[in-house]
Amino acid sequence: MGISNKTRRMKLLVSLPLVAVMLIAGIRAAQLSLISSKALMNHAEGEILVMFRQGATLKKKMALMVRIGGQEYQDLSFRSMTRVVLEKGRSIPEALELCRKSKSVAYAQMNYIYRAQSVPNDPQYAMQFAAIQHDLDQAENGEHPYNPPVEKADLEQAWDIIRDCGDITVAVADTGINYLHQDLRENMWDGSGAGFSLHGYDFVDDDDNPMDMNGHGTGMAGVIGAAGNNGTGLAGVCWEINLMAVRVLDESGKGTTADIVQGITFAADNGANIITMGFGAEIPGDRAMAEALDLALENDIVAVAAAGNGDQDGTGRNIDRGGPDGDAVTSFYPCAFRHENIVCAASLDEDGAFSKFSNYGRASVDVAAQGSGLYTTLAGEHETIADDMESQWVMNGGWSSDTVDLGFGSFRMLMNPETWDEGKYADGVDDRAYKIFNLSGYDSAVVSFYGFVNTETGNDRLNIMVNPAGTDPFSEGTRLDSITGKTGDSAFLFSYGLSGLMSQSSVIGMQFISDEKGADSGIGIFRFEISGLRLGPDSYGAMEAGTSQAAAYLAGVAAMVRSLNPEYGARDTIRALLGGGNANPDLEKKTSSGKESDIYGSLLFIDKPAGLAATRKK
Amino acid sequence: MKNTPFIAILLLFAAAVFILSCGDDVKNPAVDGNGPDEGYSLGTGPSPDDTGDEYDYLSLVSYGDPGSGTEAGADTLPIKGKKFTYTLSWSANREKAVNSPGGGYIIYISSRKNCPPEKAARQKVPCTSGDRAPTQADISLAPGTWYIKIAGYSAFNGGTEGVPSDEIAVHAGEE
Repeated sequence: MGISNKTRRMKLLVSLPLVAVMLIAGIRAAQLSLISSKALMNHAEGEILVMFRQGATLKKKMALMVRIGGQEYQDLSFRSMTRVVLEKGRSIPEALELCRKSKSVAYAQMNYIYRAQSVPNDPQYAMQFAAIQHDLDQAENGEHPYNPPVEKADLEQAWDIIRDCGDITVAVADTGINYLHQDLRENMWDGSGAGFSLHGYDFVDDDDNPMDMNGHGTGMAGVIGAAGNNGTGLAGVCWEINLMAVRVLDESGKGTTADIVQGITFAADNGANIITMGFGAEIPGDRAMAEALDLALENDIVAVAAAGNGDQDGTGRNIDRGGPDGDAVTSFYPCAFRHENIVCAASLDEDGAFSKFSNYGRASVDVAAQGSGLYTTLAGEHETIADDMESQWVMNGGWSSDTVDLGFGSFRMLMNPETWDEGKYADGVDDRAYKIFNLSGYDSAVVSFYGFVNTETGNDRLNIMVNPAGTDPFSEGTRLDSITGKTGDSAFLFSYGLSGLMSQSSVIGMQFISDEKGADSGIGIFRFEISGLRLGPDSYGAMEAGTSQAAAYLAGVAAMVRSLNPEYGARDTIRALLGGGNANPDLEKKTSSGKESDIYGSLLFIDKPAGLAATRKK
Repeated sequence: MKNTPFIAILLLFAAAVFILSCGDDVKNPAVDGNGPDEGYSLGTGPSPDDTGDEYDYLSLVSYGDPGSGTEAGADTLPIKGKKFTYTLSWSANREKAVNSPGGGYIIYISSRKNCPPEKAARQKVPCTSGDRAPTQADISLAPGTWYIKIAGYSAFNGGTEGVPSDEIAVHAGEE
């Protein structure tokens, strides 16, 4: 197969690191409608959620299942909600319409997909942010090895008032927590009395082991409450606290409404005071999630949400205005909810400037906090297998490997056809490319790549296959995705968890299929890599930048405020978070409070007395 | 308020016939050498900012917690003329900073509407012991309309004052 350097200018909106920022956070609705991919969808393929009315009999439920083509169903631990997997070929809108007509159904909706709000782990991007350590041993010796974070001085003042939040439970609704980490294990929630000896629950795999297979949740947990004064590692905002691991996001950082509403219910049932929601989704609304947050409000839980990490163009946008490009149909949830117990965090960088990637909005976003540069606990050692997109790939048909100048850099790409971007692919092809990867020794792994996919929508498609048995992935493997449609001249990030698919010889394959008519420019794939995680008890590092990091910090502040003021409820705590913040003119049009978080100010916050009255004394 | 301990503090704010102004040229007694816990004196004197004008100040009276052994509401100065006593009450704040010894509430009184707290006369209602600052106090007022608001203050950092309450108007002597 001929390999030659070529130059092709792609019309891209932003430079590569920002492509990474934008693509994980949100997809333009218009473009999203043109591409069909599991990796990009905002709802679970072929699934709906059905909330049955009280008194709906099993017979009626089953009759509905048959009518809508339910192939599998799962009763959720959230009111009377059932997750239904539809038969192949069944249309979600049609199933929802049938549910709407049923007297047994209160409502039905899509099973939306939320994503962790952190910037991808791009080494060049991460290097922009200096690590900030809170190493107690050094701090107590009068040395402060960290670069000045936005709130460093405030944090140290705050620790003079309160360090321990041992009466507070923070549910980290995320990718799980590595509860064996040396700086977290003593601060993990003790759920043994309730039958949860591993400190929480895993709603992704529906078992009682919420171990973190991604790292995002462990990072969140460390910011909130890495154990302090234990002579080890670093300290979180709270030195003592109860961290409840609620795994609702999978190893690739994605989670569904079904899992998250159960996670919120779990947190409410088990006495959480605060819940972190470092995830978000660009969706038209989510009634089930709204009801779960109602439950959280009834249980006086503060829900700390992330404002989201920007838009297609790599910069934050005003999420008050609906979805990207002024799309009024969708918005960014959960921050778009109007629950009184939600506080939504935007991001500041370590210099106190508003983060370029951070979303904002006076109606949706409440306060800004540091969203980059915080040093924290890691779930383990992350190892990246950065593929060269050339060696050991076995290809046939129109697949080829070449170096292409995309206008923002040159990349080795796998492409089909060989004349990608200049010509059209062939009709009636079944072209295959695969490579064997050694994924043994990893506890989890995620494969990702950037791709231009331009095919005849619906008929021609790129299948992503994997087979851990080391044999043909196309006939014997698991299909990770089947991508069809058009990304146009923008590259999108596609990522997939490899849980259960890792071995010494995991074969990952790309299968391009076209029918007998219609063709487009085809497939161009670059930056193919596999990120493997080896869990460990003593890893530390800079948390990925993002509004979820700001949410973690704010959750720590909320825990401190609530611990200091035992009579505080959720609303009081949020008033202190906002009222105690520092006014920042740059935030006046970006957040409801116009403030950045100030932990010391929030601890000192004194609410406005109510009910003042004067009575004449006789 | 349910569960709110009632501790009556007798605060005698004798305003007499003077105007208790909150104009820019009137200095707050609290910053005029009188520590808040020492009280303020009612009287007439030269301008604190040496403008030559004379100003009248709200007088301080001592106060005490009825349960603390200190006589409550002992006037340090005789009140000239008629006085009217009112009971102020409010809902308890939930901050530990307010409900700890060293914290408490501050009452702001002015003859002018919407007077900024820093320019109003003030009286502390401290949390002297236990875990609940008083949520009630008696004040004596000279005839006239008085604008009153309160704020919590902190035990943690030398008395940082919180956000003031909504203001109420008391028309002393008009009932």
